[in-house]
Amino acid sequence: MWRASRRVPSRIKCLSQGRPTTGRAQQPCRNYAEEGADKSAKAAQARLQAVGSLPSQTSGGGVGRTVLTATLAVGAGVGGLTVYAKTSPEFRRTLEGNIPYAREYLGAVLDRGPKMPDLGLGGVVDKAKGMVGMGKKKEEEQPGSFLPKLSKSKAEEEEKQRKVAADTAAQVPETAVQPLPTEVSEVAAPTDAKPREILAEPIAFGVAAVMGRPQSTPQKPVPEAPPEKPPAPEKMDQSTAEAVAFAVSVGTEEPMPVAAKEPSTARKEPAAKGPVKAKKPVGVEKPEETAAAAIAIGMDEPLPPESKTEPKAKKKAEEKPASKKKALKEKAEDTAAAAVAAALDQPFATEARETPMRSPEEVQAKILEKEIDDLADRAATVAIIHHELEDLKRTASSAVHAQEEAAHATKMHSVQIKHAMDENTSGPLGKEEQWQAVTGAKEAKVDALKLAEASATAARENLEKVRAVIRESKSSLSEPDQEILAAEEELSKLAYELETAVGKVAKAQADAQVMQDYQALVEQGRKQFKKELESIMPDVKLGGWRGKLSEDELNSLIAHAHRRIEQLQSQLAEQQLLEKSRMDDALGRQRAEDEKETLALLKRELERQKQELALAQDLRIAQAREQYETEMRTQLRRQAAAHSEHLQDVLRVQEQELGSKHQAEMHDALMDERDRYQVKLNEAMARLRGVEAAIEGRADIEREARKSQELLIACETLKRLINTGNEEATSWEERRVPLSREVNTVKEAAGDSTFFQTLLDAMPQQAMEAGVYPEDSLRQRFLRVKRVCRRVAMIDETGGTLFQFFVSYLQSLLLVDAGRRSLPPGKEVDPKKLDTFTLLSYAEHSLENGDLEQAARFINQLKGEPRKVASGWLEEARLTLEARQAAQALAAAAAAVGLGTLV
Amino acid sequence: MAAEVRSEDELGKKWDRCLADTIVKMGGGLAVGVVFSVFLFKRRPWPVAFGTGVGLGMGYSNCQHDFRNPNLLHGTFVKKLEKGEK
Repeated sequence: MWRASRRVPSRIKCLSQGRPTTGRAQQPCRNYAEEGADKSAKAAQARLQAVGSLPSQTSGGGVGRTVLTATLAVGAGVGGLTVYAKTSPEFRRTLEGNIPYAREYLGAVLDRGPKMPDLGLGGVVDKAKGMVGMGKKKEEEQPGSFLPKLSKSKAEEEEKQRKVAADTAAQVPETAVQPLPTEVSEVAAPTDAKPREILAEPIAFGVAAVMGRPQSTPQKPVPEAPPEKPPAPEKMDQSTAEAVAFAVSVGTEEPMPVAAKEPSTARKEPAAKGPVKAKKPVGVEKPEETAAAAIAIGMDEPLPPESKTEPKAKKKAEEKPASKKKALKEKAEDTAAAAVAAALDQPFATEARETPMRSPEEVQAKILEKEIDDLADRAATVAIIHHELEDLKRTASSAVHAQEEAAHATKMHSVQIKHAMDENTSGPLGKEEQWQAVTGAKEAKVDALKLAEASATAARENLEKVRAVIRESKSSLSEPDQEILAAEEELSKLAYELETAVGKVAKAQADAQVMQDYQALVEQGRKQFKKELESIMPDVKLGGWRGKLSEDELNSLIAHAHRRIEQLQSQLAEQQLLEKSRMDDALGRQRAEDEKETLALLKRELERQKQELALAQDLRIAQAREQYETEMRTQLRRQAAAHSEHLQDVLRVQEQELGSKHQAEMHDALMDERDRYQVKLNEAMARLRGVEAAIEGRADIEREARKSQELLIACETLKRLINTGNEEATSWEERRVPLSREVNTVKEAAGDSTFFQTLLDAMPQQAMEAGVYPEDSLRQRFLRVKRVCRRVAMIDETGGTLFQFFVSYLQSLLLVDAGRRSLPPGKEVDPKKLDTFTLLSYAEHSLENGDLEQAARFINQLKGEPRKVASGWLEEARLTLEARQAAQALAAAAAAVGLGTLV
Repeated sequence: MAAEVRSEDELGKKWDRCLADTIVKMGGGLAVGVVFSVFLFKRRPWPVAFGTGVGLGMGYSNCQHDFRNPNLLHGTFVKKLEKGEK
């Protein structure tokens, strides 16, 4: 740096060194050390410090000096740069580009300018709001929203109505088609299972019975069967067999086997008695009782007690089963069904009673059932018959055997007699013994005969019974079984055997009879002889030969003997003759008897042949019947199927018919409903249309009204905008808002009216583009304008020197602003007399009073430099006034048009 | 002249320009004076003062000229912008 005056440096030096300066130039700084006063030095230091010398003791004044210089320099530099940047935008731009934060600084210093007090009301509040974060929402009225809203509601209403219509249409009652009765299926199910069940149970029961266990089934209680076990296993077998048959019969609802069983029961016992000797009748009755009771219990029928007590009589037994059968048959249907129904479940029984509607499956089931029944019946009867046959065979064989024995015994007897009567053959036994043998044989014969007779009757009874059984089975069964026919054959064979045996016995008996006659005759002759002898010689006893007889006795005896011999000879001759005749007679008789016998034999043979033929015929009939039966079954099945199909068809047709009828009815109902609804709808529609028309009419009026209101509102908005400007503006400069939008709104609202168009054309273009300042802004601006104008009051248009400017400035300072002067009322103003200051004061005054126009007029009178200065303001004022005038005119016009519609 | 200058601010702007110009000129003069002083006149103070005065005078003269003829326009060089450049 260049050298400054020495004084300063030295002083500064002194000061920086912490020493006071002397006034001398030679030795500027005082030297405390020289003076040698520490205390004073300290005090001096303290004083210095207290005085507030430069910042640091140690550093001294040099740093302070540099700091000061630096600060000043920096400040000066910055200031200079700022000032230059203010004038030259380019320089400013370079500065901003190169120096950080220059933009902000320059903006802050140069652009903002002096803050004017904001006269607007909303500005501060809005600024605060903006700072806080609550934005101001500018809601714009949509003048066109009135009608659209209405139309929307109308649309909604229509929609609703449509919906209602749809609902009412859907609510027409729908009658559901009743499903056809489905009892069939319900019924079919149990019946399918039934046949098996039916068979299963009795079979089970039978099996159990056969096994010998005391069976107490829930359905067929046979309580008396168990107590009867002890008597005989045979009986048990019988009773179990009965039980089986009975069970089967009950299960199959067949009364006949039961009835047939009864006679079998009735008859079996006496037959069983045959092989077993000495059977008590009670014992016979008991098992029968058992079976009968079982039947009774099973069949729920009170058996007539006679049946128990008279098992033997063939006819009665025969009658009984017949009557019983009838009775049983009459009741069996119900009772069996009832029993079965009670035992098993009932639909089966009821189904047997009435057949409302059957499906083919049901029919099939029924047929199957019947077949099974038949089979069961047949099996039952066959079983019974077999059983019977067995018994019969046994009895028959026993009878035959007995007969043979009897015959044999008779023969023996006669042989014995003959033997005894034949005097030649003495044999080892002697006559007496022979005669005893004869009596023995006679007794034996008698016994054998009795037995034979009894067995024969029994066998015959059995035969009859079996025959009856077979007959009944043949009659009751649908077709005669092969077995039955075989049984018949067997039966006939047995009968034949029996008869032949009986015949043999008879023959033997006849022989015996002859022999007996002979014996009787012989005996008689002998007796006669004896008698005669006794008469002649009473005291001579035959066989009592003792001693010798006298000659007389001998002669008399010989004479008697001769006489007797003669007599006897003549008798013999007579007898011979008689014998011949008798022989002839006997022969004749014998022939007759033979004939009779042969006839009988023939008859029997014929019978047998007939029976055989009948059997064969029966067999053939049976076969044919079987065939026909099967065919008929199939045909029936077919028919049943056809019937069921037919039923199905009929039902279908009926269903269709009903369905179509129902459809028609429903259709009619629907149509009625629809018509009614249509009528209602038409009414509603008519009403609606009326309403619509009214609304339309009203709408037109209201549209017009709205339009005019819109116009009014737009004009008012415009006026207001012109008056208030941008309310969000922070300073008066930003208060202007382009009016184009509002003007356009007004234009739109005005529509085709030429009047309004003309008025709108009066709006200045610049106002529309740039906007106008509201009066307040102008007022604020005017303050500055006034100040500047006052300062350049002396300068005229041609410009002025700096000195003039300075002088003018001085003048403005010196001329006191006495305040706003008001224009003297009613007085004319001389334009020449008005100078800047007065004008300005007048203008201010008028502005204060809100008379922009007057102020503008005054400002217009300015001349020279002040005019130039105020020209901008004046221009703006003029614009504002124009716009205001136009807006007012528009508003007035709009009001004239629209105010009437506001009511 | 992008931003509009208000009529009342015109004079102010003029004054600013004037002042800035004067200061610049003064600075320039100062600088020249310092240079002269340092290099030519053996660090004497008078060239600095002289230069400053010259600057001031120039500035004053400019100001006066500007104020006297207010209707003379001040032109500025406008850089030719490239396409798309702002």
